[in-house]
Amino acid sequence: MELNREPDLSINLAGINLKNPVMTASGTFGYGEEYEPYLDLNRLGAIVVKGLSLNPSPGNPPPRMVETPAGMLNAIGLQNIGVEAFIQEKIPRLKQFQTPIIVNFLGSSVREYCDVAERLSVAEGVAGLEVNLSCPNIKKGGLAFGVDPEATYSLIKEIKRATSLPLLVKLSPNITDITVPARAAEDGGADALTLINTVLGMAIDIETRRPRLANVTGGLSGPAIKPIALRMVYQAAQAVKIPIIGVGGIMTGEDALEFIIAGASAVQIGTANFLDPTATIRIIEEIEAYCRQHKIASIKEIIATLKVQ
Amino acid sequence: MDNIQLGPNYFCLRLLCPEIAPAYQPGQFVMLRAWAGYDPLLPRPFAIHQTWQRQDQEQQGIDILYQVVGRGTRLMAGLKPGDQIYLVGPLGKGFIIPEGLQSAFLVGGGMGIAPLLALAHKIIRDSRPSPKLSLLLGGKGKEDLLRVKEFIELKVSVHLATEDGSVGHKGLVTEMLPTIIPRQRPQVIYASGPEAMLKKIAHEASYYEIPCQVSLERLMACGIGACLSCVTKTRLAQPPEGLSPDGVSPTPFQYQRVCLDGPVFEAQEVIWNNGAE
Repeated sequence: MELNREPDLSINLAGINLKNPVMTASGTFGYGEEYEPYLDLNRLGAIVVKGLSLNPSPGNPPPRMVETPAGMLNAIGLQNIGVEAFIQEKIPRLKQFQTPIIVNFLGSSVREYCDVAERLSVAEGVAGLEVNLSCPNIKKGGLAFGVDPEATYSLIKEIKRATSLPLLVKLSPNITDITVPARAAEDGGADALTLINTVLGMAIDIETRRPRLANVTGGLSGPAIKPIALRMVYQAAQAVKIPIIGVGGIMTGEDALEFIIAGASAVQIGTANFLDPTATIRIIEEIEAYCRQHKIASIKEIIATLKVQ
Repeated sequence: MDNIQLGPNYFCLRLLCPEIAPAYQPGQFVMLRAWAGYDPLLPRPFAIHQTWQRQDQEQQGIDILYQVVGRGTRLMAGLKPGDQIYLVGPLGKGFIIPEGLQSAFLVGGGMGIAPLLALAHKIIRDSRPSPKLSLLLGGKGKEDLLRVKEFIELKVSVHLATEDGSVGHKGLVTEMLPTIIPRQRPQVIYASGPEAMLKKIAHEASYYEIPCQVSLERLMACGIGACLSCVTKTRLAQPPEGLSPDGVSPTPFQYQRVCLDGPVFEAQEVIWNNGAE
């Protein structure tokens, strides 16, 4: 028997109201407008836009992407139009949608992180910020901040001083123990954690003996990393009290539900958007169907309900 | 609908897709995924070869010309009528046909032939009086030159080149350019094929001051402008302030998306050899 009532998929994530727990992952959804011809952006839980820096950045030289078994490696290098152009040219269009806009951003110094956060905080139409501590593809991509817990702590503390917006902290999986930076970010004042960013990897062409990416190494995403992401979300959820957003190889509603049961309050969809630009909508519908089938009135009922023993 | 073998490794996939066919411009492409599961993971970009229509059954769709080169295309070769595939398109910007076009070269290398037949059809349909068209097509051997008969039927003058000398000029298609361009002086050159060929054609076109449009090929993840995987270096029309070409500084450039800003570019915009082999 199914519930008569529509299941309630809404959640409040660090003060941001989402109509469902499905968000886009930064770097896979452009500035939102690229997907407008394919889906109704109003249906998404939130849109997380491509990572922004203070100044425009051209990104890495090509080749930037290579496919690997059930995954892809990318080294885009954070090509972006810069925070000012984003505010002027992209926000006016994005804020017409009934969907919270979360802006992913990074800097090459504490000062720059804070400047970008401050600038975005006074722009109308931004619901939250996601600080990128973990881009593996540029020299000063924040990874240095992400792998040193003390640096993570003090950076988050400084950024929190510069903004009153909810602050999500996106963590790198390229460390030994995810609970260390997770706790450091929480102690620094993070409102939520996003994990994981891509897993550092590489691929070689044996004919030319050259790396397949101009950047030599790149970030692995897609179904290949899902078990790693799921494990890290589970471990982090035991270690912190702030909500967690699970991301890494989610292709279906079932994948998303695994993350939610492991402890995620919301999920982000990345590589799946490349296989099918309407993947987010399908995943929302699959989550809804699951709730109906299992008589779950609210998605909140199943967050962190993994039964171990 | 159908998956016809054209040669040892060449196929033509006929697809029923009434949404894509009417919107198509020659040079545009589709992202295609013809398998279940996540390995191979990403859809593949394919130039649309041509559109088709069957009045009696009110059906229309597109043809994709492809060569089996890897796992994705090998799986495609196994497709049978009735199979469902995932398709997004038509995508990107196609070839531009200037008004009053009187003569043009279509230069293709190998699978680069794919978008050129529909382009020839469109030029012939849209231009009065009938323009003079030449096809210059190159490949490794005779069996790598596809659709030659169709061009001849369109009364396009055909010049072939093969690396093994099995038909036409022995060598590369670009080697014919220095003799044939000054003789015929086409108004526009359209080119589609391997990057090294396009670079050479762009060079020749610029020498003879003939406008040239090239269709670039890149690995893509999304095909819709979001992932920024397929970018190519192009000249900045207006160099940013403080950056002037002084002969010392590198050319001011930008990365443009082949999927959305292309795949067809003005040859003079493209900065060649940026990472592609």
